[in-house]
Parts: sequence; structure tokens; C-alpha cells
Amino acid sequence: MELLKRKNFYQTLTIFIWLSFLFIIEATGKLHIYINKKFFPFTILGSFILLVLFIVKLKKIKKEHFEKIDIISLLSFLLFLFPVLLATIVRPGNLPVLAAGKRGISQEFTGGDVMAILKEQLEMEGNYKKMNIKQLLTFSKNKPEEIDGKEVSVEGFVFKQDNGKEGFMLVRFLITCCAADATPLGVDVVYQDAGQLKQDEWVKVYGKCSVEENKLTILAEEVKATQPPRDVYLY
Amino acid sequence: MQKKKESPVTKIVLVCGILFLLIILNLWNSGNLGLIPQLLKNPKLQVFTIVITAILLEAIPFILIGAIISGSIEVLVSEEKIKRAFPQNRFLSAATGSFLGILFPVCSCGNVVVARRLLKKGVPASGGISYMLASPIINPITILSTFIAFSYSLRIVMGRILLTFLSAVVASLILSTKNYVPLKEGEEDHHIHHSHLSKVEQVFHHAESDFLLMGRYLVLGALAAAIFQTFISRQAFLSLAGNKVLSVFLMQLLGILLSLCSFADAFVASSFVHLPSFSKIAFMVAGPMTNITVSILYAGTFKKSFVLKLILTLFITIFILGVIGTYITGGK
Repeated sequence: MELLKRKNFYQTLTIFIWLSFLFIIEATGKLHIYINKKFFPFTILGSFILLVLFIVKLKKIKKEHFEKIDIISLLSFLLFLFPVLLATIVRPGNLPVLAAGKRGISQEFTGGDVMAILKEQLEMEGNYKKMNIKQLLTFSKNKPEEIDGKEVSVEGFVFKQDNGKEGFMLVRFLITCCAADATPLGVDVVYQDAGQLKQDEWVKVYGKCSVEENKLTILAEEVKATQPPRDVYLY
Repeated sequence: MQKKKESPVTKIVLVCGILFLLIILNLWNSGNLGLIPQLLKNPKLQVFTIVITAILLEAIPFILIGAIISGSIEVLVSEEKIKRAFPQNRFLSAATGSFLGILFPVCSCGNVVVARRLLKKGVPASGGISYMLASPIINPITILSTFIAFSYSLRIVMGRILLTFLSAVVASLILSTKNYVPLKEGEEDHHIHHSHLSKVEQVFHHAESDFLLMGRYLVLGALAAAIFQTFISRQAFLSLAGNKVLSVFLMQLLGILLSLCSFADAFVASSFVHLPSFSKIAFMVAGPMTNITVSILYAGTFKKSFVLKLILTLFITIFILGVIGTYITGGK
């Protein structure tokens, strides 16, 4: 019980809880729900620093003089604990469609590199060129002639603003650092059976691109339900 | 016999425990316990959890890196050396501080920890403040990401650097008239006795104190940013932007409320395709300098009145410069 009154016990516990949280989230492969793959090395580095801090703290915990826990330190401990508990209890999946609506779906993308996409060997699915929404929007903005009239296959989730009987918007989130900056990118899809599709459902669209004044629409020939890919975000 | 008085900590733990039990009992009694899994799938709760966790997972490594740099400065670099690195003239010191991020590209969360240590070590106030404000933006990573996000537009990149430099220098000069910054005393300042620790252990000891001190403000900031991102619609917010002046004001406010990392905000700004360039630049300058997360970190570093003055000065300066920029560029 004496231990529970020590301030440095709560400080050590805070470091341990965050160290374990980072380790579990890295080991279970859940990190990609939250941050861009490019930032994974920083999270691993963060875990390593926390591990060193934890070892150093453990080493000197007995040497430090007794200091009783105060309200500020206890609240601080609870504050550190809150997000860990929340993520553990809620166990979130991918960003839901609600986030796309709140953030506003962008149908233009200026940050893409046309030359880089042209150099890529894009896979074919039968007659359809396999592309993602970021690549399509990059072409429609900078080199529309590359995709106008071409047949493509593209996946994303369904976003319907109204009843969406004649069409829907196919959306993917683009993230740069983490899910907080996720920007929904979308393309209009014309599809007669759109009424049968559910909001937030992952689908693969096969169809022909039509670009008018840099605005892309896909005239769908077929829409198939699909499982979300492992990397739900575009980077 | 004298009755032993319960400490406030024990009372808080007791009250939280009783409240938790009452909630569970109430749910059980009303037969709603089975609703919990459904509640956990609520989209708003999911977005809130993802955003707060994402901000923390991204920022904590940088806070830790900042804390290690800060600890190393404290233990390994003498006050004289640090003072000599900065010019003593207030303006030159502010200008030097603004460009120091080119050498140390740490994002805004980790940067506050480093700036705090530099100011404690006697760096001129104007240099320390301008470093803290400008370095999250004037650094190679942010400049490159802005360049890519805006289709290699030199105009936007130069506009962002210029607005950042001017705002940082103006604010640091206004707030450092007496070459003094009212830093809050950290807990570690009272309790570190180094006699039995090696230099490396001392670095980690300072890093741990910095992490525990600044980390709690980071959690508070992430909490506030996640609430905003979950409940407020960006589109509805910006639909209020009726003219150029208002669009600068609202984009600045949006930058503050969203609390995005300076390495990423350019990609979000570029998605507001129909707004004038300088309102997007104001978003990319006000965000890293004064967003909710960073402001709460400032509140953990400086005295309250200083933080209020800092945020107000920055807000007004960025707004005025943003409006001037908008009119010079014809609102394009």
C-alpha cells in the first residue's frame, strides 16, 4: 500500500502503460489504422526511448526520496491513461463514412505526380486498368487525355448524399501523417443500380472514365462488393 | 482519539470508483448492459477514438525526441556556448531563431520542449520565442511537403515562409521587450540531484521529466482537437466565408481548431481549392503556431498571461498579414 502513495510509482506506471500500448499496437498490426506507414519508424523509435526511460526509472525508483502523490500528479496519470483505455475498449476499425461527410469530400487533387504514375506498371484486370482514386484525380487535373474514355477498375467505399438511385461517390481517405489529417478523395460514379448499394460499403467499380473540364466521372459497367483492403488509406 | 483525515487523492479515487459502479449498476438494472457493444460501434465514438489516438501516436515520438534533445542540451551544453550561438541584438536574435528549424526539423509538439530548455539555458528571449514559433514551418520537411501538396508552387511555399518569418519575428519582438520570458517552473527543477547519476542517466532523467510534464498537455490538446474533428463539419464551417477577409479569418481559426501536424497540413489546405491562396497560407501558419494542442503545451510551459498575449499577438499579426497578402495577390 505504501507503493500506491508514491508519486514516482504513478510516473513509472504511466511510462509502462504507454510503452505497452505502443508495443501492442505495433505487434498487432493496428498502427496502420492511425498513422501513415512512413511514420512507423518514428513510433518504433518512440517505443525504444520509452523502454530506456522505463529502465532508467526502475533503476532509480528506490534511490529517489519518498514523495507523496498529489492531486495534479494523479489527474495527470488519469489523463495519460484515458486514451489508452479508450482505444482498448472501443477497438476502432477504419475511419467511418461520417468522417468523410464532416470533412468534405475533395474531387480535385493537386499534390499528385503525373510522371511518377506514368512510370508505374499499372496492373490490368481483364480490359480494365487497375487504378486508385488519387491516381485518377491526379490525371483528371493535370493530364485528362490519359484517362478520358479509358476503362478502369477502382476500389473505395460508397458515399451517398441523397437517395443515390442513379449514382454515388466512390471515396478513399488520403493521409499524410495520421488519421487526424485524413482527407476524403472522391469520384462520381454513374450506376443504375446504385440504390442497392449501402452507405460505407466497400466496392470495386469497373467502368469507363469521362472527364469534362477536369471533372472526372466513372460510367460504371459493373460494381462488385469487396472486402476493405489491408491498407484502407491512400498515402 | 484523533480521526485520520482522508487525502483529496483518496477522495477522487473513491468518487470515480463509485460513479463507475453506479453507471454499470444502472445499465444492468435497466437491462441495457447488452447495448454496450453497440454503443462502442457508434461512428462518432469511433472517429473520436481514432483521431485522439492518431494524434498521440504521431506526436508522442516527437515529444520524446524533443525531450532527449532538451535533456542533452541541459546536461551537455554550457550556458555560455548557447548564449554565444545567438546574436545579442533582439532583431537579429529573432531572425536567427526563425531559421534554426532548418538545422533541427522537430515538429511543433517536440519543439516546445526544446524551446523551453533553450530559454532556461539563457538564450535571448526573442530568439527562443521565434525558434519555437517558426521552426515547425521553416524546416526542410514542411517546406518539401508544402511544395508537393501545392503542385510545386513556389508562390505558395515562399508565401508560407514569408508569413511565418514575419509573424514569428513580430510576435517575438513584441513579447521580449524586457528580454525575459515568464517560464513556469517544472517539477523536475526541484527534485533532480545529479551527484549519483552518470551524464547519460542525467539526460534520460531530464527527458523523462519533460515527457511527463509536456505529455499531459499533449493529451489535453489531442482531446480538444478530437472533439472538434468529431462534431464540427469543416464544410459547414467554411460555408460562412463570404468574402476574402472572412476567408482568411475562418481558415486561420480552422487551422487552430484542427491541430494538424505542420508536416501534413499543406495537403489538407490544398484540398480547399476554391479559397484564396493567402487564406490557405494563413491556415498553414496559424495552425502550427497556435493550434489547440500547441497552445495547451504553451500553457504548460509559460505563465498564463504570457500565453494569452502570445496567442493574441500571433492571431492579429497573421490575420493582418494574411489580409494584406490576399489583396496584393488579388485574392487568387
